[in-house]
Amino acid sequence: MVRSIVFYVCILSLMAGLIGCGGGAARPTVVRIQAFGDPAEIDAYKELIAAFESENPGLKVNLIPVGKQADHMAKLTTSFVGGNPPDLFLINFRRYGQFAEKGVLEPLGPRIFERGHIKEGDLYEQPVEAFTYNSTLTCIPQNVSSLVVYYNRTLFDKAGVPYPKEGWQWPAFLRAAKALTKDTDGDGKTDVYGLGFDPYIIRIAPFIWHNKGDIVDDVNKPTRLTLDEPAAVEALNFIRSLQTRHRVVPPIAEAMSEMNDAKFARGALAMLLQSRRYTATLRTINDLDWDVGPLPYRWKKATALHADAYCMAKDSKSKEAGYRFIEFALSPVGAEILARSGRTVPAIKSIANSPIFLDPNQRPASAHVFLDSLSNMRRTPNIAIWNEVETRIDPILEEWFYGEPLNEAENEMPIGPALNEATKDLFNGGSP
Amino acid sequence: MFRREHRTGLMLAMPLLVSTTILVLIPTLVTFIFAFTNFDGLSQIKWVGFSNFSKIWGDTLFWTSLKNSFYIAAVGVPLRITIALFLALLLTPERTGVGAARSSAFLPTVIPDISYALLWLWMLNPIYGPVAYLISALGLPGDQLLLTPFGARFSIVFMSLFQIGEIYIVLLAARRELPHELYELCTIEGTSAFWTFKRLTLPLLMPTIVFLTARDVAWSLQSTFVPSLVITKGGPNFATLFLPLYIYQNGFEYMRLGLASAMTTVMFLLTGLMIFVQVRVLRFRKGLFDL
Repeated sequence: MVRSIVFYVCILSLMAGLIGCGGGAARPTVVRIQAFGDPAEIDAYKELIAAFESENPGLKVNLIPVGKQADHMAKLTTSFVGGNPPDLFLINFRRYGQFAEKGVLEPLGPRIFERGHIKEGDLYEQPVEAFTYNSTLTCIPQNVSSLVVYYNRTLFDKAGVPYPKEGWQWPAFLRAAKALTKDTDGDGKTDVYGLGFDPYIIRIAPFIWHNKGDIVDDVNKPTRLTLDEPAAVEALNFIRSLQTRHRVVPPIAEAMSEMNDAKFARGALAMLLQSRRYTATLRTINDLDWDVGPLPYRWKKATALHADAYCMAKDSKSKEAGYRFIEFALSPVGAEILARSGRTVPAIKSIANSPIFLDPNQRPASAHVFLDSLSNMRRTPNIAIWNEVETRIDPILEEWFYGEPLNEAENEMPIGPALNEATKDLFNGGSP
Repeated sequence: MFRREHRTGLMLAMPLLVSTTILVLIPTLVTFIFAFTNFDGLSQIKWVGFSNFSKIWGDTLFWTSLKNSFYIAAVGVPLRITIALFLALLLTPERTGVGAARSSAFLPTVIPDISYALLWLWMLNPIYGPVAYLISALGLPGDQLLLTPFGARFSIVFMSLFQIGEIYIVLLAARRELPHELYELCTIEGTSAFWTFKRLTLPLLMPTIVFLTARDVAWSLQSTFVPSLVITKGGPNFATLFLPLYIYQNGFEYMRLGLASAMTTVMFLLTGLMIFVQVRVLRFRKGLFDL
């Protein structure tokens, strides 16, 4: 008898619980966003999401953070193939092509612009052009970063070397790097290098452009690399000589032991070529006196575009919520959160030119350098196979960069033909 | 009675049979089918015949990765089997502390692959790693470990030499199963330890060694994935680009799942061929060792 009573009480309690659940608040719409970045960047996205959720009580954003670029790509690919892609993801223009080609991205430009909160004219044209696929703006640019010179002011001051400034050229750059490379404790080993340089095509490309060369025959429809042409070869030799002849960059053992980003952060590099995303990390280091300057040039000023954008999966079930998140992220409130972290050069012109980005109390003091670079900005291709082209040629370039020193009489390194050989099947057929 | 036992045995094996069918046999079959398609997970699947295989034929990176994979198997498998056999024989007699020694020999095998690779990433660091430091202390170029093709491949083989727990434990069990009487007879006859090993232990263990070698070849071809992804990233200059990593890149980074399936099929067939040849050769060798 007692057992029966207990049983019925339990049943009634369960039913009451269910009714209670049914009468509660509706489940929030969930937007899943995948983003790649280091901890400082991911913290900024978390802050942005918290602000968005507090302004939009019915919406919830689940962030899927990924630490490495390659893992970001693999995770995106598997999630698309598995039929469970994130609703939104942030991706570089060099890598979104393979998804756009497959037709799995929602063409965001027309969708966002017809809502009226953001107009195409509000955005910088360089990232808009880079994320335009088949004449349609496919993803909405979040930032318009570029390659600049991060420099350690303390080391420059100690060596009496003038800071990088607008109009400086390769010879001055090399002189500075040499003067800043020092054995500080007299043990015969270099302790501070003048320059940190990652020998990959995205870093090398601006130097080829400076020398009136190019990396491909047609940036929109490339059919081959052009790193074997004279202007490119000359620029490549200059780059390589920084390591082999002038010894102003860390040798391979040091480069592989500690990333250049970490080396600069602990004051063992005087200059580092990096994009805006590095600012977020540097702002977390208080005792480093640093700033940014423009890239040096030879004949022609140029820097490389490093833009990321919000892309949406075509099969997303939370499109409306996704649009609202993008609008919020690009609004002054959202842009200020990301700008405060230092992560982005906002893609919205009015915000990039406002104190939100150019805040004199925030480092880098010369934040305007990122905006000044816009007029000289060029980009690498955004075609579907470009990610793979980079994956193939970067190890070859790295091997070449850290190779044996050049013979003084030798003036050409035949790396161009090897790069062409490694990529010709990709350009010919899109796959090996 | 037999039927009942048979049924019970089948019931006990059922979870394994079902999971193997779902997780191994069906995916294997699907991979074989995908190998003849342009499957990318997103577009309409098209039957492309042997097109993926002809692409593989002309793909230099595929041949590089295949060569690297064979290199690791050719160098690593004999070393791993030899070390495991040595450990198994060394730790067979019951002595003080042998239990702890047996556990220690097995321990590296149970460390998750990713943790194991991350640990070695630090140990092999050209400047800050202890392995590089020790090698440099011997007057050798320790800082070149991951920076030259030979050093990087050597490192991958070297770190695999500690993950031999499964081979060693099977050999230890097999050795303990050998009849004591034969060894007592050898002692009475006063044979040398080497003669006993060559004429008694090795021939009797040979069926187990043949099986373990075949298994280890298959293991070696697959186990390079995590270290090459985490430690060497396929470098320097593609020297540690192994087949599993190249298949992963094609399938999961470039969305060429059809092509990746064809590569997997080739790897599967080559592994089968290698095991077949090994078993034939070692069986012939066993004949030479027979008493």
